[in-house]
Amino acid sequence: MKKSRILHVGAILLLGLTGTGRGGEIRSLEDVLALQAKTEELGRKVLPAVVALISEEVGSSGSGVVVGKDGLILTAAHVIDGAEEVEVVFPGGKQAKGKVLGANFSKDIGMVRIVDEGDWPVVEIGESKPLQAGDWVVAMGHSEGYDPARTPPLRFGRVVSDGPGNFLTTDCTLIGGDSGGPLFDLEGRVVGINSSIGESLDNNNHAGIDGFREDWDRMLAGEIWGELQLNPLANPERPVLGILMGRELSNGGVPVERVTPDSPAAKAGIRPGDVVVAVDGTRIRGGRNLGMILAKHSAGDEVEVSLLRGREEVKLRVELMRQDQLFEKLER
Amino acid sequence: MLVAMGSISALMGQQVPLQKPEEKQVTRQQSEALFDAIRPVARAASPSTVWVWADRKPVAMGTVIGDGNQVLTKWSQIAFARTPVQVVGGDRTTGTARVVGVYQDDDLALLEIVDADFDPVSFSTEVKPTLGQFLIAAGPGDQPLKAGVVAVAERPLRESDQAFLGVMLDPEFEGPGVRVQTIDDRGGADEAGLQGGDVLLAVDGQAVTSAFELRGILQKTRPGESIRVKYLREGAETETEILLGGRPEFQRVPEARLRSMRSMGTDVSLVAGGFPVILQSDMQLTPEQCGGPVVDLQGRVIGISIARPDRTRSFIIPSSRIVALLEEEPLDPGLAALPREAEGRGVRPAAGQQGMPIPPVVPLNRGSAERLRKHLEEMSDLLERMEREMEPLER
Repeated sequence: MKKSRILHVGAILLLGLTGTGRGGEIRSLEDVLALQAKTEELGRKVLPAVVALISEEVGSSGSGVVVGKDGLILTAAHVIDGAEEVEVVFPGGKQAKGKVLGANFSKDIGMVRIVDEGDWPVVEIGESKPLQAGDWVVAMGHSEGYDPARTPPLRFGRVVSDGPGNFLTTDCTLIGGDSGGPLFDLEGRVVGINSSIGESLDNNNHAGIDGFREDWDRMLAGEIWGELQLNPLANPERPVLGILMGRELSNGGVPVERVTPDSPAAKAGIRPGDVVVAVDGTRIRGGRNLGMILAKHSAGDEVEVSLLRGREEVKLRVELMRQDQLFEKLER
Repeated sequence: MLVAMGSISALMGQQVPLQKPEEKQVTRQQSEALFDAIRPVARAASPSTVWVWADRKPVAMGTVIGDGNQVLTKWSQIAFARTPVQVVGGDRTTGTARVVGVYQDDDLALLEIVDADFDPVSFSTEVKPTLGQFLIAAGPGDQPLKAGVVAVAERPLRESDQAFLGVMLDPEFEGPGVRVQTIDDRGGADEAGLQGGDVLLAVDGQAVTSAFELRGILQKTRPGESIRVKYLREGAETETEILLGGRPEFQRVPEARLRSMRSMGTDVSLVAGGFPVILQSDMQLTPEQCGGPVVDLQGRVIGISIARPDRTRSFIIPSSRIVALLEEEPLDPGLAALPREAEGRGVRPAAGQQGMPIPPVVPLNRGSAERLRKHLEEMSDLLERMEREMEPLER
């Protein structure tokens, strides 16, 4: 029953992209002492709400975090995959029954509700979109399954990259059993949910908490949808422009072969025959590169697309849209 | 898991998905700023930190104690050394070391330095590090090795130090209480006359509502202590006193997938478990960085790093345990772990060379013995090859 599965390992691609960085700056030992004081306080405050989720049907053990006094738990979709019921175990060993609600596999987020009556310890929910490389964070989870000999280990680190779409990458090292556990900002608010790891110690991926907000009601209502896909280019929720790309040019530019009607590209005035040469000032190095640069954004983000139209360079602002929603629109 | 483990090798060398150069720069500058800020703190212990060399390579860190000519280091990292062990300080002062004792349970070796002196460390035992507190692994030079936080407060890791009741609970039982399914005859429950079907209601007056809760309560007890258990048998409530024993060693074979996850992005220590008491930190030590002093932000030495079990953890033996250990007589290195060998679980290392006591076996569980054997074979192959290559040079 204590078999740890969880934390899948991602097929992950590396690319150079542009943007600006800011971070939790350290100028002196006093700054480090202040960070320590925050981390210690945070640990005491949030620890009681970090639960293990054990599914005997599926034979897996993951983690979750309680955010509702009524026992609402946020976790990763793959932790509750195939389960209808889970055992919820609190750090002190207190146990409760949990009912699996909904999940969106495309974002690897899910919900569980404790069915027993109780006054459950909770944590606050923060925001993930504003997080950038250098922001300090703390990850927790029941590594390798629930262990009564210890509390769920605390890992201190920082955001190293705001990952594809809704995901973030930190250097808080994770392992099997941590999946579904919370990532906190230094105020102790949940900003992410542990999702996957790659080979590097700096490659620990978390689903951003803002992804829950968009899907809250559907998950609460018990809906399960989406597709777990770690290749950002295959994620159905990835943001797109709505163009059919032609063969890339030798200088890396990507010609627009067709523009999808009603798509963000169409609305912004991108035309067939235009050549995409840059996004937000970053030169494009081919079609795949363009896809990866866009994947780092979320739907709703506005990007500046630089195009060559004949001899003229044109810059257009485009609001990105989710690929699956664009397709849905087309089918209608 | 969606993607097979096999695909990992293809990802080697790739660092962070979609990391922009700017993001990489921000985090690198941040690390530099953090290390600049903590460097003065680590200086409190760096003169007492040495590299430990064996077989022409650094294999561990060492912590200088006593009058400055004794060093504690990680025993399993030098137990199979074929050349005399040497210690090197931050100023490159080099001394030849002799293993004079072994604290086997803690995987620590006591070295005596024959021809050099260093500054001894002073252990701080007045405060126990708490959850989230920052820790720094000092290095022999000016640069600290690693920094991290207390991930889990001090706890025993050795199973025989954990109390064992000896009941298997019925997972189907809905309560109230927890129902015993079978009794393990190695525990106190059997001795006290508990039987399958008994429903445990409370331990020492505290109601028990789940298996995990029972384990949590037992976690706070130690072998040799007694607990009062209230239980229900055939409708009648009874209370009995149960003397707790130590937990028999369970050989838990980790799931293969978990095992391969452990070493993702990190090398792991040969001996990484079974310590009587440890602090768990998230600092990312390598196996060769274990054995040195760890300080808090006040520069107080709170312990000695002892193992890297996986990508998420490093273990530290707290100063209080070290101070207590040093009161004890260490094992003669020639005798260390002989009982294990008699059980056929140890490994006999290659013969030692002149000037070094022949290193005996290290205490290991079965899985690691196999790994150690493999490691040894590789090491002796390597040495043979090196010796062959050296021959023409010497002639």
